[in-house]
Amino acid sequence: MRAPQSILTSVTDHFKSVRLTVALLLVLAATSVLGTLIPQNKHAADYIQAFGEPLYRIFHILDLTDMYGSWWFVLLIILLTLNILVCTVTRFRTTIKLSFGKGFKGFSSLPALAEGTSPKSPEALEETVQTALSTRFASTRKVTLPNGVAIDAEKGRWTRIGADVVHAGILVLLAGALVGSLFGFDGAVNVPEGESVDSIILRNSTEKKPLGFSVRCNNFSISHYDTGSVKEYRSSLTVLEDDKEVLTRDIIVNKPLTHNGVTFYQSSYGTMGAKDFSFAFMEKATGQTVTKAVDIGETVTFAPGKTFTFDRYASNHAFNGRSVGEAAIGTLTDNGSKTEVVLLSRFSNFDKMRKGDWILSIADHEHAYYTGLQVTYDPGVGLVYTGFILMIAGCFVAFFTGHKKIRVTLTPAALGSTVTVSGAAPKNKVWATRYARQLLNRLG
Amino acid sequence: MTSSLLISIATFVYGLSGLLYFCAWIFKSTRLNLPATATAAVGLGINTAGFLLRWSESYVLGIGRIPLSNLYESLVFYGLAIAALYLVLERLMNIRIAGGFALTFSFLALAYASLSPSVGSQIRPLMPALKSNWLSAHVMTCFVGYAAFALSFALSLLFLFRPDAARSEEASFDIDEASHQMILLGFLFLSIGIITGAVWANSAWGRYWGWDPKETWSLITWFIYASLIHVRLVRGWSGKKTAVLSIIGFAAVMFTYFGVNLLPGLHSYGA
Repeated sequence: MRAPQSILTSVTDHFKSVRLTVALLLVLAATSVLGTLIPQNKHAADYIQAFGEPLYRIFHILDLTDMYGSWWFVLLIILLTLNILVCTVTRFRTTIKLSFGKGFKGFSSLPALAEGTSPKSPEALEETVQTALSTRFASTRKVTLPNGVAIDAEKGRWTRIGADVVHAGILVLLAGALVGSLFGFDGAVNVPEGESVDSIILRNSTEKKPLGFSVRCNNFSISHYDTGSVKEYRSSLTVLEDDKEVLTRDIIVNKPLTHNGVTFYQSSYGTMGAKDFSFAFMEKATGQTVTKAVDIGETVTFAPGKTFTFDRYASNHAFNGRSVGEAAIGTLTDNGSKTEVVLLSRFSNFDKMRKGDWILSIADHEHAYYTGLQVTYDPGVGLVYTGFILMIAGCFVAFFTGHKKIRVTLTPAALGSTVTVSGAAPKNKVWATRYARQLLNRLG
Repeated sequence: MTSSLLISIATFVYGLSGLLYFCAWIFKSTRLNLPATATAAVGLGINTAGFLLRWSESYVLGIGRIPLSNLYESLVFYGLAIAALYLVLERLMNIRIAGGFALTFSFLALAYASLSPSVGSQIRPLMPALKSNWLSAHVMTCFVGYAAFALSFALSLLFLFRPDAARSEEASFDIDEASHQMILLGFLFLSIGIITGAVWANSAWGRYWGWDPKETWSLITWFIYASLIHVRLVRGWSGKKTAVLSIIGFAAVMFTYFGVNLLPGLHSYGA
């Protein structure tokens, strides 16, 4: 039986391997494709219709209808997380030592990049080399060699942590996602104009979630461009705590409102009837018109002995089997005799067909809307954004900055001295050779 | 002068430049080097002018928005990004071999934008979801990333399939190194593009990630290039093996850009 220590080592060895990283990344890439080809989180009937019963069974067994939340996909992400974690932790001390510990390591074995001669003596050149190097390098030193001197310069040692910063960023991001899924919630709620709600319906369920405060929709409006396409959806919301108004603001798509960490997004809307009706009553004989505001259920007298009762509103009225759109339906009472009148908002002359003495029409009305709000509480967002920043900064450091080492060796020669430039910049192979040549040119 | 006319002119200038680069390469004629680069720069200038003019035209129409919000506009910007990035690469790394492919890509992007009947070039006002300061940051970073990947793709093709006459060890090293630098740049910009998209999605829809097909495909692309970077930097792969991976990565980029529009999802603006 192996000692626990060695079992632990063999487990960490597995998780340390880049082979595992690459395998996991490619498996994640390949499996993610499935979820874009198979629509996610639809009803069973939709799948059976589109793919057939046998295929749907396979989807169901493998959780392919909700694959990004399935146990095996989450397992892949957990494995990747462990992989990154073990890699970063096991290397951590070495990375820190290399990045921030004692510098000027391994300068004697740097590969030679360029060589030249100078009529000046090594002692005379030293100063020039020092100056030339210190314009590009923050840290330089002089080493006495058996056969001359060497001036060493290095910079960017700290950039070795770039990759670890990226990996830390990914871990922080995933931690944020975990926090969000454990402690956050999201759902939706429809709020009719003028009304308020104090709970929402959670997504993919019928469960109600109380908010601890209430939100009132004061007003919803849509504005259009001249072309007719929608320019803006806007809801005016008021937050109430214990029936006291705390905050009133308009939200539009891309400008949500946040209260106590709960954010309200403009996501949809709908009409629910109409309001603020006024009607025009025109006497056919004289052409004179009176206009009166009438609420649903109300009766008004528009001429002596003649009254109009606004019975109901129909959002889509059918006339002779054809849809004619919005209609106000009421009763006209003329000295005791009652007639039903149908008034259409789309055709204001509709009532002429009745051939009565008075022609009625809808003069004005407003739609009553409800606003559809997406409601989210995600305490992990801060962590996720921190992860984002670490990832970008780390990628930049890891890719476009690097550790650069240069050694200039000056040895006495018959006529002056021999100058050898050696160096290495693992991240930028072109740079070291180019810089070595430039440096030699400058020294003449 | 309209922006679409400028874009049409830029299309042909790019085509001509690509041709000059190919001639210079095939006939080993260094005399064609300067004309090829100059034509590319002129094409880029006209392309940029077309982009800016379209921007100002939208103000004349009373819409007033940066032209980065539909397939036509994204193609115009993509052509611009490829040409600009190629010229930077040529200058910094002194490598001309990818010029023919790079300028042909710019030509194709603009030609597709102008000629395909399915790509509408009208300037339309923004739908509410696109009205955000994140729009330009998100689209620009994504397309700079895509452009870098296109150049790496061109260099990888050259690495694998260039004629034997052009196979010196030094040339191989340069092509491989340039391709790798483009992958690193592309990966950084793709990451920023995905991240700005996530931040934007969080402010518009209340979620930073939703596995929408476009999001998922951008992540698939990210996974592929991430594996490439790991095998190269940690396991020391280079040359043929990484060239093949880079070609696979670019196929994923193209699917993220065009293919996803065939799938249903929130990104159905066509860009």
